[in-house]
Amino acid sequence: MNKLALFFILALFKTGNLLSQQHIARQGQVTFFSYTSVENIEAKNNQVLSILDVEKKEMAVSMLMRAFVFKKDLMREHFNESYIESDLYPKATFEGHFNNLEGSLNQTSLMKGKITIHGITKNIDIKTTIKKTGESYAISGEFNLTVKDFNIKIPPILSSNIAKVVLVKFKFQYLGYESN
Amino acid sequence: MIKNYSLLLKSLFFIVLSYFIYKSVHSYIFKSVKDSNAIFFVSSKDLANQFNNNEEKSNSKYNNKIITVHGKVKKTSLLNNRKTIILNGTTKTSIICDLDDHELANLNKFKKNQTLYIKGICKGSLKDVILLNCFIDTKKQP
Repeated sequence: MNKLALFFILALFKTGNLLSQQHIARQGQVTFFSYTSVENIEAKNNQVLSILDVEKKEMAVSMLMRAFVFKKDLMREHFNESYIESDLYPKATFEGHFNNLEGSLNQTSLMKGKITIHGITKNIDIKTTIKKTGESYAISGEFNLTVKDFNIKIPPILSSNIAKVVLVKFKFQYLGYESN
Repeated sequence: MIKNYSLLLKSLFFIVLSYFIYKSVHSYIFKSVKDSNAIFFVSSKDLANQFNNNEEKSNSKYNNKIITVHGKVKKTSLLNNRKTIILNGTTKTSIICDLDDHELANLNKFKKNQTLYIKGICKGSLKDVILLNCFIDTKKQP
């Protein structure tokens, strides 16, 4: 009987432990920049979801394309309706694995993963900065994306307004899964 | 000299005219979010449940539409300099309301579990349902 009780306590402890290894960011920030001589376009999404599994050294990200905020309404309209086709592909996702994630120090780590935008998945390597304060993690980084890799068609008349390579920056602040 | 002067006057006139056109169009668009009537009026719990039960159906029902959500404040946040109010939905799903830059309400005055009516544009759901361009719907405050 005692052994059984001990087993349950241990099992409970183990699950609790596993849960505590998962961290969540519900208001992550992703920004992209397109610089050309004609115009600069910047869009921000402040409601990006990310889950970080410290034990498995894994990170998953999901965002709504419609939640990107632009300076001009026309830019947002073109982005959602013509380029990204948000009705057909409402989300962009990323799943990655860290090279190392010690969980104690401020460090940089290379992450290898797969990014899916506009229904197309690409392998990508991202250099990330990881900061740990108390129980919470903050992860940030940036990378470049080539627009035509994702089968995004830009009409010739607008091709000089939109960069061929877009810079993407991200910033996630994680909290323990339970406390959020 | 006189010709140049009239040209200058003409271009000045057009600049002023286009500024006023821009202003009026801008205020029209801005008004359309704040002063438009919500198409749907729903509790935060109900909205969260609908998205949990059938995301696709809820997407086509709510996405890009102005809705008023009422529910209890779970927490407020100023992360990334965005004023955000999170309303309680279900245990798993909350409603994230990102306030419009024109909404000047002070987040400090909202207390946890206080009931609020918030009008905004529904953008869909991840783990939580996301509303942007939100305004506190003062007319509907209890």
